[in-house]
Amino acid sequence: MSEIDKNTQPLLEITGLKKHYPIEAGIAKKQVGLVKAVDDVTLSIRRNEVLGVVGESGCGKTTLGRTILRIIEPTEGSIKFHFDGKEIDFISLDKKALRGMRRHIQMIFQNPYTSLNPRMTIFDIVAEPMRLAGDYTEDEISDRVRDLIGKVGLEVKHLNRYPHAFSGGQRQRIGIARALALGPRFVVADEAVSALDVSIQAQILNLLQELKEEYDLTYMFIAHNLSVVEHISDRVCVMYLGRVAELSETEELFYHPMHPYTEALLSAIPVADPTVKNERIVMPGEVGNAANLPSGCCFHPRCRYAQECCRKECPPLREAAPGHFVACHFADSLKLNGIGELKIKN
Amino acid sequence: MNEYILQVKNLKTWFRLDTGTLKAVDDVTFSLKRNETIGIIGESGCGKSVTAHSILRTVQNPGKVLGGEILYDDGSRLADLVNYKPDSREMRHLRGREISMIFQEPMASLAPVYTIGAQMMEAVMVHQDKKDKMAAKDACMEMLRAVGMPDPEQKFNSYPHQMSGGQCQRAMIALAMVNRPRILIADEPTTALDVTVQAQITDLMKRFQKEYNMSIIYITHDMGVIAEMADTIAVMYLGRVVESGSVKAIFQNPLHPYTRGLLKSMPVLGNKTGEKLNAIEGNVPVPLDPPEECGFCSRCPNRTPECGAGIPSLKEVEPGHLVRCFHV
Amino acid sequence: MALFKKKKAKVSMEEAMYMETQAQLIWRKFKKHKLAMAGMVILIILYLVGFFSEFFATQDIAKRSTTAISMAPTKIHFVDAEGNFSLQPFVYGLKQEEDPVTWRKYYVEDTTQKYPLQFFYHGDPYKLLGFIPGDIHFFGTPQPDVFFPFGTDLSGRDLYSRVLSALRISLTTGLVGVFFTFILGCLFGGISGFYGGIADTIIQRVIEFLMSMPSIPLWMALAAAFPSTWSSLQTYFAITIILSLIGWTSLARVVRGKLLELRNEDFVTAARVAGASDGYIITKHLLPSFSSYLIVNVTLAIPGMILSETSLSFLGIGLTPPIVSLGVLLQDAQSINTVSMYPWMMIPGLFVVIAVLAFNFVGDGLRDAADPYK
Repeated sequence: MSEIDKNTQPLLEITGLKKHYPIEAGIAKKQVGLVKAVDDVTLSIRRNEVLGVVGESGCGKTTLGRTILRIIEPTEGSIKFHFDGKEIDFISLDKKALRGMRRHIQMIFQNPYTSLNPRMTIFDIVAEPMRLAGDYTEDEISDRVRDLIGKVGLEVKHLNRYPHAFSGGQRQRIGIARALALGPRFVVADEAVSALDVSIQAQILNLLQELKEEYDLTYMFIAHNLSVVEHISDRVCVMYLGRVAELSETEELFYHPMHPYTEALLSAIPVADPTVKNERIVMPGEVGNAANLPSGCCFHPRCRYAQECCRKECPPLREAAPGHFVACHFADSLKLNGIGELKIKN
Repeated sequence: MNEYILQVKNLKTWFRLDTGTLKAVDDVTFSLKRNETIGIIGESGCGKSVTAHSILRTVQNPGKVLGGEILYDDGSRLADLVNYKPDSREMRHLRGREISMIFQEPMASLAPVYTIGAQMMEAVMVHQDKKDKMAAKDACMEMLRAVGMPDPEQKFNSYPHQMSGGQCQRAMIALAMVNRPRILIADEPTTALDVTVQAQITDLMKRFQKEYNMSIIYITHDMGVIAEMADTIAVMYLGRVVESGSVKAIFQNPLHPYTRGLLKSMPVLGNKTGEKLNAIEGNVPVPLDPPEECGFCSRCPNRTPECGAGIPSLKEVEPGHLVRCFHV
Repeated sequence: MALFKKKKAKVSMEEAMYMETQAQLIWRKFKKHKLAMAGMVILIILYLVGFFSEFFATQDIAKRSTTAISMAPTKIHFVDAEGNFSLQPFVYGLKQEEDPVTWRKYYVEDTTQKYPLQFFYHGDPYKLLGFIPGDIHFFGTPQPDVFFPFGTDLSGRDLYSRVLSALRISLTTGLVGVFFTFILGCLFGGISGFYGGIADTIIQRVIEFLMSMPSIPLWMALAAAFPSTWSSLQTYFAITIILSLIGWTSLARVVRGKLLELRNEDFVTAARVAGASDGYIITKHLLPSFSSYLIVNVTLAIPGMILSETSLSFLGIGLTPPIVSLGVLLQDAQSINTVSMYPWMMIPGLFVVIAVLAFNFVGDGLRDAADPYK
């Protein structure tokens, strides 16, 4: 494989990924329905990029992240990693091989208070993945833990403390150090800054960016705060009811959205500038129910451009413009407003 | 009639704990004009929620309002709420009728075993002299319609768990608004909600403010929401108001280093440069037996030895724009 | 790591608090709970006294004093009949008199006989814990048949010595019973919570069945099943096993609930993402996380065990003489007549109350302290 191929080849390719939960009722556990938490998601993540995943609660973004890590086993679909020119079919790995693969893909959690075991010292928390991997000596572990703790901006002298001695932001740093312990290539950050204060949030975002450059990381950054996602992401994926609605380069998506849902989402972002007038697009109704999806395009009951065919036919995700994927029948004909038009400065 | 409906002056609410005195609110001063919204902004632990509970006198033990004034003008006379006992008749009369509050977790703030209707009816009847069930129900239904609740007839008889988060927050607002209070205290009302629902709720509150001539105290940590909602802003840090002024003054001419840091540390929409954010260094301290110094001095970029010498006072720098910093 | 150990010696107070382990945090919180501390002190005293009951007793528990049957607790004096004060307490000898009308026998103090009380005197010989011979007693008088701090029973045996001896049996039944309960509860609760599915359903139904059974008839049925030829020691163990067979259900539910809750904690997911196996997660993350809850539950289960043993023995289907437990002693107080004429027969009941209360206080204190992170 040539050098060029290695770089253009995506790090991660997901095809037709589905996670359906059966709804069971009665003593006989008869299946009475299906919750389509993630439904037919196809996307790829390039090496060293940040893919932001946004959507309202219940859109399946967290389930998607966890399914990619196989914390939740997918119902269908394929997940392929490309490491050093080798293709790894992640779904087909057995339990043991999967544990071996864990070192390459890691996770940062939302809640810094529940993601650290309160009964372990910081040293033990960060050292745990290395001890589990089994190919480090205690001296190597000790050196690496100190190195990591310094890298995430904590003091080495605090290694013997327990998590209760730290604030939320500091705990999140510990969680990041743990995620980096085995030198992963791909990290899923699930709402990693949502629970933090504004001033701390900026520190952690900066840290994530620094670490990305230093360790050549690739992030899947799941969040509901669109300003944060715009800041950190190279590309953004908008999800609605378990499906990808739109996927594109960040600026393209924010300034030239092609999906009506993205447009509505952008219009709702509050802007921290009292001189900006916000053009609000009101979506009627509420997010649909993943257990009882609307027919056709699942966004049609709330879409102001919906037409007859939207009720019947589910639009596939297609490349409407180069690198701009969208799942809408009228992506080409609609003239949608981006933040340039929605947020008007007086 | 006074221009201000509520004036809080030098409010102090401390919690005496085994480990020391937690000065959750230590010198908070702000004024709320009629039919206006004041945004109280700050990070977790800065005392913004305790301030709200101090106004309603619902601070939980071992917290106590230990000083200051909370002057409430009901149009006919000026009352200092600090002088009332928390469970006095006067306070009970004020709560829910004159001053209402909505909370961050709508699901947790509504009683799970009563229907929305029953809870609203109770809120109405408690403040009625002669109990009129029919009139109360009419008032409730009107309010449910006003908050834009889908299918209000049915939702009147629904339990909180049968509704979505957005609907619960609408119900919460309906419950708080049903007695047409003069002041609505909103404590992070949209933090737990999605942006689209957040936009609906803030729009609803703005509409209500116009329709019912109500003043709002809006507590949040989200600068974006505050820029849309508020007329004036009070920035809190470590139990004190460090800067207050009109929304324009705060956003366009922030003077306190904390306010500046806060504004610079946020990613701004449509301003993607790929550069790093200007984060405020350090962590938010806990105000447990705090030293006699400027609360922000441990993280301040413009710190001088003077800053550790005492607590700066809130100075009026330009009309209506107050800053608590030695260097302004 | 060597560097840390050196540094640790010089850490500040605050730093020490940050480096506190879970046990240290719990202990610090527990110490603040006054009632729980009092309960713990009482329990330590009760267990010590019970364990070395031969030493603390005033005489042999089987010895009958024919001259002192159903006698009220002896009065301890500091001032004698002449009004002389002595710092050393003493008791008077007793003589029997008869009510001329009712013919009821009663005892009066004979002020001519004075027996001083002393510490560490030589009295009845005993074997401490069954094998250390000795004859030194903690407090009393070497003169036999005069000093009965709690009175005597219907056969003239010293109730005080018997209560102390009974404490050993009753309090350890609680411990041994809880030990078996703990094993059964953790095992079944663990299977139920961790594996779920059919195993969970079956175990839950069995628990419901056991919980729905009225306990006294069940005890009676089980007690009737042991052969009468069994020695008292065998019966003792059989009783504890019966108690734990019935008592494990609530603990199993706690274990199951806690496991279900912890299984989805973020830090458990984090360990899984780090490549941990099921066994590792159970032993390193799950078990330590709920050990504090287990300790609380076990502490609160002991008084139930003590009460059950007492009730069984009281009903005559538990321990039987010559073993003395608090329940066995209370058998003497079964009739209203006895209680009204010899109220001191109820003293063993008082000890049951004290022990049970003390355990409950300690349990409450532990429960408040158990989760130092909340």
